[in-house]
Amino acid sequence: MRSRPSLFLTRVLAACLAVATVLGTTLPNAGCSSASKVRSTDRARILRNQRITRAQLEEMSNAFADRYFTLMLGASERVIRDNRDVQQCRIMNGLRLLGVSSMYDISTTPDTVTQLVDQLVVVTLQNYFWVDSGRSHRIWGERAQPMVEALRRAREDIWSLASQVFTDDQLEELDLSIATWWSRNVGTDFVAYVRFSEVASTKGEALVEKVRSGEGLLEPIDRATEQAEEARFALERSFFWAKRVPLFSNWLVLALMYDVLAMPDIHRVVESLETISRTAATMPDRVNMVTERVGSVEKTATTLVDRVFRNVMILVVTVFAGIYGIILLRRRKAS
Amino acid sequence: MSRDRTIMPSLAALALVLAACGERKDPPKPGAPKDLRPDGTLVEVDESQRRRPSSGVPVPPPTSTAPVAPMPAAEAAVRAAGAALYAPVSEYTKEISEMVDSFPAYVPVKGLPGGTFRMRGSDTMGAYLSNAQARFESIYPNVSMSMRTGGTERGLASLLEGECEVAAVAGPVSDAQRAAIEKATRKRVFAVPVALDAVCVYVNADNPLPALSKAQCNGIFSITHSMSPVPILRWEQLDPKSPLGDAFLPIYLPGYSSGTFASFAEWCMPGEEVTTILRYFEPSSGSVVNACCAYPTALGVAGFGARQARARAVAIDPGDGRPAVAPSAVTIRDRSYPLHRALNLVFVAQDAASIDPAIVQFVRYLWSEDGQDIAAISNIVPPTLDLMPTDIVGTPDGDFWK
Repeated sequence: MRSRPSLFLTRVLAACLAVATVLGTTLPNAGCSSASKVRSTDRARILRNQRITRAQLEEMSNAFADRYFTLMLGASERVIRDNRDVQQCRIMNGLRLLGVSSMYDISTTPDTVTQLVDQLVVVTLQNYFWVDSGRSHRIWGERAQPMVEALRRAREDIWSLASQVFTDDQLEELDLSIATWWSRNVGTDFVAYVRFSEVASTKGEALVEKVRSGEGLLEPIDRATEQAEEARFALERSFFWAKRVPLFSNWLVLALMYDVLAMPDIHRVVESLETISRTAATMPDRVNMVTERVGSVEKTATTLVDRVFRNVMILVVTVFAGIYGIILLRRRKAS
Repeated sequence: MSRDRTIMPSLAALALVLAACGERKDPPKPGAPKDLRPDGTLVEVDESQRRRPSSGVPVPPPTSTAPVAPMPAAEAAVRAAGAALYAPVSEYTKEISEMVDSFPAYVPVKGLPGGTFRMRGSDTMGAYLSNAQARFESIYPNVSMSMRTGGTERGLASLLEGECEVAAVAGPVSDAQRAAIEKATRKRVFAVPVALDAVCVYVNADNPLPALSKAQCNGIFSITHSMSPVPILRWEQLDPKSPLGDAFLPIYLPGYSSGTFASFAEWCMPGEEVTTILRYFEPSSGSVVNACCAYPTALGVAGFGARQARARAVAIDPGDGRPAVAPSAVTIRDRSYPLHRALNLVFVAQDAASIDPAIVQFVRYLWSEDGQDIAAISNIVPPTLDLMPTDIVGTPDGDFWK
């Protein structure tokens, strides 16, 4: 009988202690509790050993490059198809060619983490440049929408991929670096070849090194096997690159062609050729029109001649009749 | 059409030959790079704007077998689309210039003891404070600063936990937050305004939605929609004439720790939870506005500083009989826009006299012409002079801080 209250008391005390422990950790954060909530999810993933390996990241990064190519191809074709505006086609072809070649260029960078941050920087800056500023709509009008949505989807994809590698704090650091760089370089037109090292300078290198050494969600690099792994990746990258180049090599030819077509002299020649071509195309119509006109003139002339002839005949008959009348009158007078 | 088709291949061949000749004839001069504009004119460009070597050739990938040099033609095309078509959203207008000019010039103090302080908080203030930090560090090389974002709430939590010395806070600090920090640090909390901003509801630039009322915002964002008889899920519910018709209305929000969203929720849905239907949390305010720029049906909440050309900040009905007010530097400054707010730096000290002198100088720098110039470039609105924290930074001597 005596042991029961003591057991009860022990339980109550234990419960109080548990509550106090929980409150102790949460109370100081009253009103600003979400910070620890977010970070705990990162920690939980690390504890559950859900870190991704370099090989997985390499694969995901390559998959993103391919997806980017598909998005750009689909969107650009919709802009270029049946579009007779050389400038619009030229700019669109330039955008997709630089974007895709840059993305595949990044995929062959030796370091996997650098690949990811570079992809993140390029896609985010492309969104600032082409989507947010309204350039796309000013250049392509209503045709711009597929490209705008494609760039936005690429942004969603790459940030989602980055969230599997970087902790929330690291993602914020990345976002701030890009936003700050853009605020200082607003209007920079050649965003496809901007790299993370340029955007974040020394701070960025420190961040990449932290992630490489395991201060993120990426499995730390095993220095012992690093060389062997690196050689394998290098071989795979060269195959990856070689297989992708033919996919967009015809865009190079198109870029040249559009560039030449956009030159003022060539543009003038093409315009005059088009004028000649249009003129030639309308020749039969014009001949028909002339024939019709000649026919109508002929008809009018015939009518006119008929009318004149009739009038002349009437006049002649009238004159002869008059003369005959005068002769008759004179004969009567003479007789 | 058939005639055109027969002409095109021969034209293409001719074009290729001419292009090859053209490249050889007119090589780009290293000192004077040029742009080929859409109108066909060659224009010299500023070298400092060039992000890559003038040839435009990227660093060849070390493992690639056949690196493809990017086309000068493609580069020229993209460049042509650049400066000529650029229309910045944050035009540094005469109006803003006059606002900035009204601030005193900053004069560096001699003998400022070196120090290190960390800032953390609002995404809205991120680029502004990062840019100001870079300039301030160049004035005082012995002062080292760092800026990290993560949202207002996270900034305050970091201040409370001693992980930063200054919290960047968008909007006011609540009494509960102030009390929690004072209790944890056993110091007094100082919140000084350094700029102005506003919470804005963004839609795509092509969306003609004229204005939103508090009840409509409640119907869109609240799961319990206490001010609206039905939840608002489609565009035609907001405006029967909307060209978007019965299209769904996806909403884009900054994260839960965002002060921007907290201010917005406090205004139109106090104590209510945010809806879960077609709701997307974005990594930053910039990403929220980007969604509104890209998707014609999107609607998002972000700070005035995050505005972009392809997104439009909708006018808000103040609910007091006045017409709806659209956010602008003027309506935010004269407080006629209902969702205006101050952007604050929050720090702790025993009293005003014991505040870190480096922090005092930084606040003073932000309250100077230079500091507000950075604010304007970062899309932030300069504060009105009546908000100046004279108890901390003192009073300027005429047109100068001394």
